[in-house]
Amino acid sequence: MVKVSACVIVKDEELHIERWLDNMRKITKDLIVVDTGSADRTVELAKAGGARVFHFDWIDDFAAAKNFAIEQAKGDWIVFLDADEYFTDASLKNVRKYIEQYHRNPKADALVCKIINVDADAENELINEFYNLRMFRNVPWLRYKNKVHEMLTKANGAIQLMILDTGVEIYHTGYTKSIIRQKLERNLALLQKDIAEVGEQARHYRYLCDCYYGLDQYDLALKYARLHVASGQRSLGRDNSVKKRLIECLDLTGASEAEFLAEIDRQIAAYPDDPEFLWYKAEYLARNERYAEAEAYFAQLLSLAAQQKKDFDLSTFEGRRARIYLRLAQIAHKKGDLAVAEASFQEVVRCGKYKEQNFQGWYRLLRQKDAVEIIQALQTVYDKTERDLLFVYKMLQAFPRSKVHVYYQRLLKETFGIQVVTSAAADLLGAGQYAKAAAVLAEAVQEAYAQLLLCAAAGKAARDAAAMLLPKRYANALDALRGEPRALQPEEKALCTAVEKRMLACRGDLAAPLRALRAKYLQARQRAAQAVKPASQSASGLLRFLAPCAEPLRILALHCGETTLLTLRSLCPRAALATAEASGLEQEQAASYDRIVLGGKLNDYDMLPTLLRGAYDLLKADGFLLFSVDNAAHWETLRWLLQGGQGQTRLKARPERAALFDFATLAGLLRDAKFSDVEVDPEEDEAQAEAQALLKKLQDAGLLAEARHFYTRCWHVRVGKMSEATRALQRLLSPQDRRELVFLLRRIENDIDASDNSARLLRFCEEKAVEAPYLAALIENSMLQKTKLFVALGGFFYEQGKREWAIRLLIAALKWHAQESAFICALALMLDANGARQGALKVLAQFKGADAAVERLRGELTS
Amino acid sequence: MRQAERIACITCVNDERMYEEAVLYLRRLSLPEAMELELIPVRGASSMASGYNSAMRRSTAKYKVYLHQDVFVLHKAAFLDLLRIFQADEKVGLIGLTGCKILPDNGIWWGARERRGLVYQALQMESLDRYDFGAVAGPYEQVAAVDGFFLATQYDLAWREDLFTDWHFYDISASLEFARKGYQVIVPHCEDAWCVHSCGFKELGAAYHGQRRRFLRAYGAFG
Repeated sequence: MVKVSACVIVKDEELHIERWLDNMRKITKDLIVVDTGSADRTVELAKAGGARVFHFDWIDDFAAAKNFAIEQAKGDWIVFLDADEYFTDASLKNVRKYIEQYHRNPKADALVCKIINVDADAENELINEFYNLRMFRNVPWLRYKNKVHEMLTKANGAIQLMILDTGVEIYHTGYTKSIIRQKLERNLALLQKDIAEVGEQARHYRYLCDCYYGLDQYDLALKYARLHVASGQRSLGRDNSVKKRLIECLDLTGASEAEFLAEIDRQIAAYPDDPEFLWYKAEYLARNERYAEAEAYFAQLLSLAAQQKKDFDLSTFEGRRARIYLRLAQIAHKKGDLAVAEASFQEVVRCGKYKEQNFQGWYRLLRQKDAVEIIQALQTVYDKTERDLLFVYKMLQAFPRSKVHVYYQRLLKETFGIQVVTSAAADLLGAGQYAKAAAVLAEAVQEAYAQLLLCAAAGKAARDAAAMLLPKRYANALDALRGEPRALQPEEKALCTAVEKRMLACRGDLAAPLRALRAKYLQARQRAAQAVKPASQSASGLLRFLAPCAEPLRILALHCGETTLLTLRSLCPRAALATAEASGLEQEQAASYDRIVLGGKLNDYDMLPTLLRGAYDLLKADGFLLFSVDNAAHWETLRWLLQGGQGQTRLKARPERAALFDFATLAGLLRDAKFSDVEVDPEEDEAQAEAQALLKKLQDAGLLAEARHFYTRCWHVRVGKMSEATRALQRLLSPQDRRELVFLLRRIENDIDASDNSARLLRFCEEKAVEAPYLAALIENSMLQKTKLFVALGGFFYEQGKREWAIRLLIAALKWHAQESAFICALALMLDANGARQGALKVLAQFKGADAAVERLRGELTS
Repeated sequence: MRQAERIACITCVNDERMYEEAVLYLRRLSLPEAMELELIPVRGASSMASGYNSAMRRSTAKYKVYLHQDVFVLHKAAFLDLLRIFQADEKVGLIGLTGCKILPDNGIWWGARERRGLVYQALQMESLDRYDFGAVAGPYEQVAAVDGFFLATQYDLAWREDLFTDWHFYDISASLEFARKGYQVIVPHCEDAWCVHSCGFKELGAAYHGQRRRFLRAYGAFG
């Protein structure tokens, strides 16, 4: 077992130290508290709490104090939180788990976790969150550097960080106002007690000033700052701070400008090297548009920082660095010195490279340049990491497309396989290939005109809307189509012929192209809005598997089983469904399909990635790819598909295969995919055991909703025998919910307020995400008059406009009731009413016996 | 004064939601004209026998149906059928829906070779099993003991709360008490099971066997 030490450096932390001790004790017994001079009960409490307490003289150096703490640690790993930080309860159990896990990974030096600033006054309301390093190996080459803003560095190379995205959260309460106020109020009370005993003395002034300042009583703070300065009191190293307070108080209490400026000048004269006073002066000048003078002061600040004099307060300077360069950039821009402006802005960006306004300010200056220069400049700040590339690309969306866009787009695709969705024409335009762009656009325009013409030919209302927009030769063709005698040019004739052909192809439904156009437009707009879609977003944006669609889609079903085909036919009744068992896809063939469904009967798994990629590339830009295969060995392919953002995927994985993949990936992926796209099928006993294990992991990870969904999906009912999966599912739906569901079904079955209760059932299923297959299995297992209930519920759902539900329910039950004529007829009628006559006939064909009603229906549907 | 035009349904309740559901089914059963239905839930009973006794004494109804809170009566004519049997033969004292012809020596009725009656049991929430113990010949058959999930009486005999301080064997004991007084204990003929018993699956624990031993001591060779 890996040994862990918990370290902390403290000064006057009596408010927090016990919570820190309690928290760390749940991780390790080796608690190290390094005290840098507490005047309160911190040390006493730490000793009582079982920590090893050390004293370290404060030498204004956080790194030194922390390194001293590390020296005392005995563990293999160190957990180094601040005293006002603690792991949430849910995280505690994972901390050790992660340390054990990464301990085995020699590449991991340190772990970065999420830190959440919470306001302890407002029930831990989240203020903001960030990631920082809090756990690392206890090895001699990992030590802190920097007096302030200390950071862990590696003596021999770059430190290898592992990010703990999930499972570990640290709460930081240091920004809680009441805690700060509490400290100040306590200090003030102590001071006042002292003053009551010995009278107000000069040594009290600066402390009173500090307290009143922190408690927002600026008049009093100003009064004591002045008294302190006047008293000539000096305190080693901390002398300037009261004077800074004085200037800030002058500002905050609305003193006159003359008084304000005079005070600043006085302090600059006294402390010519102090960055803070120079900053006040420079900022004042810049605010008052005295740029030349301001620039001089800013320059002085920078040169002082560069000299790194001993007394120079680097931390104050660092805090202002971005602001200083921003001012310099503004000043240079006003002077028309673009090179300096740009260089200064680059420094601003370095201070916060993921701040949108920083990037955009800089890019506005860079834009004037040649694409290669822009890219070179960007690369001085932004690396070729996924995060940086995505950030840059996202930021670029605010600017017109250029070669820079194309460059980053390609880089994203080549390096990380992230496909950014754009239109071909926009890409070409961005790359400056105007002739090709024109050709692509011309084709699109022609297509739009052709479709417009088609609509216009369909009816008067559409014609009125379209006629205005059509160019002359299309208008001529339109007249001809309407039967008016026209002498047509050859190309106008060709247009007429093309439209006529299309009309034939569309048969009665001439409005469909219009709807398709609208859908395309909406889709394009949506894509433009989210041109860059990181994996998680794109996956969650996927539509549900087999979304019903009334459009006359062209669907290619490869290697699909009967059930998939039937479902496809039923949910997309107007679709032209082509099936194939082909091992490859012909380019011309595939490119015209709206959806490609890869079914579970595909056995040649080795060729699957190629096939998938091929299909994906060939698919129309707005098509969907449905991926359903019994083998999860193509995890990478699936990932790629999900991250690609366009395809709609469905993984049907045997869990024993799924178990080969690391759980974090699986859980992450499943969560991203919202689970509805993933189906795990534990038909075999072994597989069920694996599924159990997977389920347990999901439960342990706290993904309960996903776990329930997971088992809802993979529940295979064996009538008369409760399978493992069933029991697992029972654990996942609360007993109350299970009972309510059974109660509702039983009421409907026994005709107790059947229609009210059916409506209630529908609501219940929607609210609790109970899916049709589960409901079907439940009815099959626990009801007496199954056929009657299926037919009644199917009919009810259908009438309520829940056609998809109705069809799914009955198809799920088909395997049990295929030989019951009432059931078969009901399903067939439903499918036919939904426009899927072929599906209806296939259902009827499953009935083997002789039955008058089935025969009659079959006759009606074939005629 | 016992009222012949009243029928009381007596149930020990510790699960309100379940009982609420069971009542839905009771209220939809057919009743002869002028017959009144009285629902008597007993809450906080210390044992089945004591709960039943308190309700029995409170009610003036001549006919009483004692049923578990998790029994849904599906058979709409259940009351009519019961009344017809009681009114046709005043020797019939107790009607159950499942039971055995001869009680085995160990007192466990379903261990008998010859059993009668029919019920749907939901051992798991999501499953339903049809328990067919054996067809009843004629309109009804006399048996030695009946199961307690559904019991109907036309005479009030005290439940042996002195003996059965738990939730078991009050039913077998009642069967024997009625027989001792010379009444018949019967299972009626049913086309299909009258009830769904959502009993769940329970191990028969120490309590059951404790009560069983007490039963065996009290009733000896079932005299």
